[in-house]
Amino acid sequence: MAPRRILPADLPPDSALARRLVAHRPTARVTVDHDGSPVDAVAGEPLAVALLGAGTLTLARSVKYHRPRGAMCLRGDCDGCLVRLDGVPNVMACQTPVRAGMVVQSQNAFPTAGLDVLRVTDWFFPKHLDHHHLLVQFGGALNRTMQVFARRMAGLGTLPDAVAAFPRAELVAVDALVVGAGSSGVACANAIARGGASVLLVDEREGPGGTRRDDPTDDAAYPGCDPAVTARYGAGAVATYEDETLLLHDGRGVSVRARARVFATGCRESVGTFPQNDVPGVFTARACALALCHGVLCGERVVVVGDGPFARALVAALGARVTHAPGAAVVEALGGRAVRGATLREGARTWKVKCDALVIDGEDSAAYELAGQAGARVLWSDGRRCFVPESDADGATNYTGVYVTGSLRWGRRAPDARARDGALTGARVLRDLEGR
Amino acid sequence: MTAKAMLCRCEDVTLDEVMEALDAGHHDIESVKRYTGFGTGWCQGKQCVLACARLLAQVTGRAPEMPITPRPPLHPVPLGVLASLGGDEEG
Ligand code: FES
Repeated sequence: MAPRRILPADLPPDSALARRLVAHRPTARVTVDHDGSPVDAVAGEPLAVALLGAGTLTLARSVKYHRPRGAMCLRGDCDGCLVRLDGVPNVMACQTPVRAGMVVQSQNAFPTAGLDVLRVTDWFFPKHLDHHHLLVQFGGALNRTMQVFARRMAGLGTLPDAVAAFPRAELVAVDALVVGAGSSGVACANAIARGGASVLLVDEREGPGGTRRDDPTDDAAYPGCDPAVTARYGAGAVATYEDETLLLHDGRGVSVRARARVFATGCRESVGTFPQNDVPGVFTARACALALCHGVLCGERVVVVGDGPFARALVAALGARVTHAPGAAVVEALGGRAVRGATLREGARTWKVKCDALVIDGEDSAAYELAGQAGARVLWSDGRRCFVPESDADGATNYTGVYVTGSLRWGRRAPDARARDGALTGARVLRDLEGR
Repeated sequence: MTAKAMLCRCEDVTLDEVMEALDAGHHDIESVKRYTGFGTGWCQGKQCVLACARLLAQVTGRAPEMPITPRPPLHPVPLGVLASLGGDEEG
């Protein structure tokens, strides 16, 4: 039992997912090497999805306890998918498109991620290994030796094989930078461009669409960008300070100076904090939906917990192939090297399910980090139970030239509502640019 | 099998450890971070700051305070990229 690829022929032919898979039928099948074994993959798909499609759940070991780790979010938010790629350590497999001939190695494990003898650290410290308050809590020479050993063997990767040369960063100057090419970001960039200002739209994904890219029930075309918008995909914003934002585009740095910075970074997903929440095979519903849109089913026996939009989309796309527990909460995941079940609770009832993929649509949260870095004031929202950048009716924050729009501001809404918000914020950016 | 609940996956900080910090009187994100080391790993808090904030809201019944400044970079960046930005000198 493992994740695997599915074919359009496995699905009802009239389903949106089948149409999506046919429309995106892989043109270039390639092979990558994973720890010495060949893996069939599709050029351009996320490397972590390709590895899942080949049935690989465990990619690495955690730093302290050497617990098995695998992709959980497929969105660059967890630590599950770090690999050594072509001799370079700590590459996020979920954010890296597949190219033919890639050499992928598990890291931080001895001898391999699937079998790591240092896992004894985990059993040795059943509660936790507290290296910050070590001597207070643990006595005994054996414990101390074990901690030294564990900590020495831990850490992230080892140095690259070779010294790489980095070309000088590209410098770009625009009136406005929009980060995030989902429904709101595209609408915002379009509004700014149509008003005559220069605008750069960037997204770390391989194209526009944001959340809609990962909805297996959504096969409608994404609204396009105005020709006057410069769009860069595969370009993630990684830091922003004053009017300057650093992008990572194809492994190269791009420094963007912009008079206005708009953050349309949407929401993050998480699975929640329950025992064994880090076991490979525990996924966010969005990760499972994202993989499915690439034709990879994240397990043979899939249990979907929660009733959010991605859970509903998965159930709509997969029907009886998944077990849905819309009102349940996860008490704990079961399994050591990979998930093999879960204890669920709903009201007074507690029960166990068997599964090889535990898919959770939990509370999402605003991806506020870049807006916060840019200077926007970030406040706790009791309603959304997360931090949200403060903004006025149009999406302007307290910090001049910094704006937020779309799901980041409101939580998940229908795509057309997000697009309207983006256009509203775009109009405000234009007014402010003219006024300044 | 050791049933740890991971609050911070990058640094292997468990829910137990964070509860201990709360018991020791640390009721804001910054001091829980300093006490347990959560949020200092590779993801720079993209998952765990929120998990900690929600826990604090639940335990204390108060809105958690402004989180620790979300530090750059958002994702890991090769040092070579940072060096490629150069300084004021011509490159
Ligand atoms: S960071 Fe890649 S799977 Fe979460």
